[in-house]
Amino acid sequence: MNQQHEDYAGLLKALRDAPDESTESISIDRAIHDGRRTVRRRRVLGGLAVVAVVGVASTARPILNAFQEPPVAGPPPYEPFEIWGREFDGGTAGGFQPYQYVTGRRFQIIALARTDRADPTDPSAVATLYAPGLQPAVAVGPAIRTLEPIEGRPVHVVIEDTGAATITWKYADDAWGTVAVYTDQTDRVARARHVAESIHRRKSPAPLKVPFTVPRRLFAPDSDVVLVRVPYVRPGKYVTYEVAVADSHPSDPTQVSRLPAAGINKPLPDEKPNTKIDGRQALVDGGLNAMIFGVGSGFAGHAMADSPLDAKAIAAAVTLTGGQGTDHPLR
Amino acid sequence: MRGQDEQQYVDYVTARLPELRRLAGSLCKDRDRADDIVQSAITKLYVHWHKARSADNLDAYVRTIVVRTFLNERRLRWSKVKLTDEPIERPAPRGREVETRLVVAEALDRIPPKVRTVLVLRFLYDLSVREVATTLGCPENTVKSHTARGLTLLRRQLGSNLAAFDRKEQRA
Repeated sequence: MNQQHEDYAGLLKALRDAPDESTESISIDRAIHDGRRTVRRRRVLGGLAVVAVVGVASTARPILNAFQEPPVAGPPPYEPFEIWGREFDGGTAGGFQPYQYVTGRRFQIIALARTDRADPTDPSAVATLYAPGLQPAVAVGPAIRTLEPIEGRPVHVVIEDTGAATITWKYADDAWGTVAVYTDQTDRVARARHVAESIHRRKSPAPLKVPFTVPRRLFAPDSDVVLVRVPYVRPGKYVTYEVAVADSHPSDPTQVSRLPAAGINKPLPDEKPNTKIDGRQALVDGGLNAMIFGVGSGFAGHAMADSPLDAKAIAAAVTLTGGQGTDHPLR
Repeated sequence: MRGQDEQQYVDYVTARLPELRRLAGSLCKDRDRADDIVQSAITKLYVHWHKARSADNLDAYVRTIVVRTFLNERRLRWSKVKLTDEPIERPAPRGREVETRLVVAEALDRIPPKVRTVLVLRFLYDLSVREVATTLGCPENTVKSHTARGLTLLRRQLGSNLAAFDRKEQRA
């Protein structure tokens, strides 16, 4: 470093003497609350976009991520997806393989894990497909750069960072999707593109069912199933069936982890009972999440719900169905 | 997280919060945004607490979370949108030291985020090139080039204000 540079480096040291700022608006309690949600979400999703979600879920002001940016409704009115139908096929691409699928009216999500890792706990990749007529806000503004089209439609890089990349592309003339890839591999944009190329809309939705029921009365009045989560392609140990229950359809993917939900899952090795509910082994985390072990076939019943809903009561009331499952799990 | 682990987390964060806020404030002059960065970082720390507390250097681990949170957020174009119409409160300048701090902070804020981060970590936190490279997840040569570029930019930014400083005093 030359003398001139040393002078200016020395000037920076003046900032060391800056007085401490107040930390009053930073809340450890809120961090714990949001952290619990994220842990819970990671357990349920097997690591789906944890990195992306943490930042948003924990802040009062909207520091947004491309993946979480609410879709912008544009004319003509959007064409909703079916809740109980998988609208897209996705395969192994870019070193990722789908393991979970989430359906909603405004968007559908494919969660993918690295194929070269046995444990997909680390966030890997998430594809979000928006209903025709909606577009993620990242598609509205200027892109970092533009890639070669996919099937003649535009592809933009909207985030390119250490450990993460997000592209947005048009999967149909009036419909957008995003692929967010979380990896330290240097070719993450190319990998995101490969994932996008592997996703195709089906001619007709594949019907979905879940193998459990739960009493409707335990949820808020006028609420219904708004999201469905099912295993997809290669779920590995993250076998989860779940429905989110609310009185309105979520408008952006961040809400996936925040809505009251119930379902069944295969417990992970580190999920051990820490209490009992009605004499049954249970894992209760902060009163927000509850899991009841041994509901049958190796599954646990689980629920996530804020007060005044009772997560423990909901989890305890989850019942396995026989046969092919149901698309009316609220009884 | 078990109750004992959670108490360890609370104890650690409580003790380190002013320092984390100071780091975020150095990287990002906007107070609200600095608060957001710390809030987001300590949430991530909660999620990864088991891994973090077994790290060789917990402080370095947490510093990395804060830095990467800042860089990730800054890359998004809407992070440049002002969050409030209220005027940003600034302490009234008192004396040369305060004036120097304000001018340097203003100049630093106009330097690109990643380059700024390198300057902050190297010269405010006295991290080595290797440590900065580890924190940012980039090659050491990148840190070196960012350092040189950052100091050049800082010189350019401060050029018109240089008369305000007694450089000899700074060096002393």
